[in-house]
Amino acid sequence: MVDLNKSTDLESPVEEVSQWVEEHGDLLYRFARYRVSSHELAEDLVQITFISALKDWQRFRRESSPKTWLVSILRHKIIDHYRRKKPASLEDFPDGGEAVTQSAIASEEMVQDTESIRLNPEEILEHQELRHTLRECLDLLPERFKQVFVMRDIENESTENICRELNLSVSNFSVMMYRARLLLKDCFLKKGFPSLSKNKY
Amino acid sequence: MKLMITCEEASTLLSEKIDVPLSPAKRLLLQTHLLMCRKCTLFKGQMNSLRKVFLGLEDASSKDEIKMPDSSRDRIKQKLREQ
Repeated sequence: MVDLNKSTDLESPVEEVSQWVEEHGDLLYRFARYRVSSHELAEDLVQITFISALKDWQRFRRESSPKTWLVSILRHKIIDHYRRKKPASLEDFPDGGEAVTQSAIASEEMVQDTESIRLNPEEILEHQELRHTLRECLDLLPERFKQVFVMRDIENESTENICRELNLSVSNFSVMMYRARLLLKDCFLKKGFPSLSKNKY
Repeated sequence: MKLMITCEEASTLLSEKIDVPLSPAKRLLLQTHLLMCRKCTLFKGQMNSLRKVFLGLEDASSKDEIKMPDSSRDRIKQKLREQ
């Protein structure tokens, strides 16, 4: 049994991890907030992360920074959260996910907006309110679509790794990504992104 | 083997192409469709732009004021003390 309050250095584990809460709490919360659909769940996952860090404190070799280590723990906790729920698949949706993309998926309509969202990525990312809109659109995705999308299009994780970590077939993964991308595009249109780069092209 | 695909099939392949290598047959079908379809060519640009935006989001978001609520911070520190 490890006595977590016993000081092995200048600080006790509890003091040091509490200090990490101050230093890295916002970053971890932001990281979680992008990946799960509610702030309550994000807070819970961050709490679980810090408690795990305390329990594993002696195993932290300090070859990486505490921040990197904490993010790595959190990332695994988030994946565990999704794994625990049910196997991630389109079977989560009784109709195979059709209803959630009904408005976006119509074969002609989805490409008719020729004047819209010619996105200028750099310009969008410069504007805080537009970043806020991106997050709002992300939150509208069904939770499993969101997880897959975040791993692929925000973290740039490989398709192979995502399918392995989430127990997904490549075919289900591709369908989820396609629908997530369509839903996001649809969301941007509804929120007025077209006006953004009208003069840029 | 069919020679033509619909816009919906083409858009599915455009998304798939971002994530996995397409078979030569699928690539050919897609390229042929894109040569003839301006809408899907635009859609391809949109998909690629969307990906660029999101790939840059995490770095850009470090400027945002998303903070963990103080109540949550206090609760976590309390939990740590109770361990």
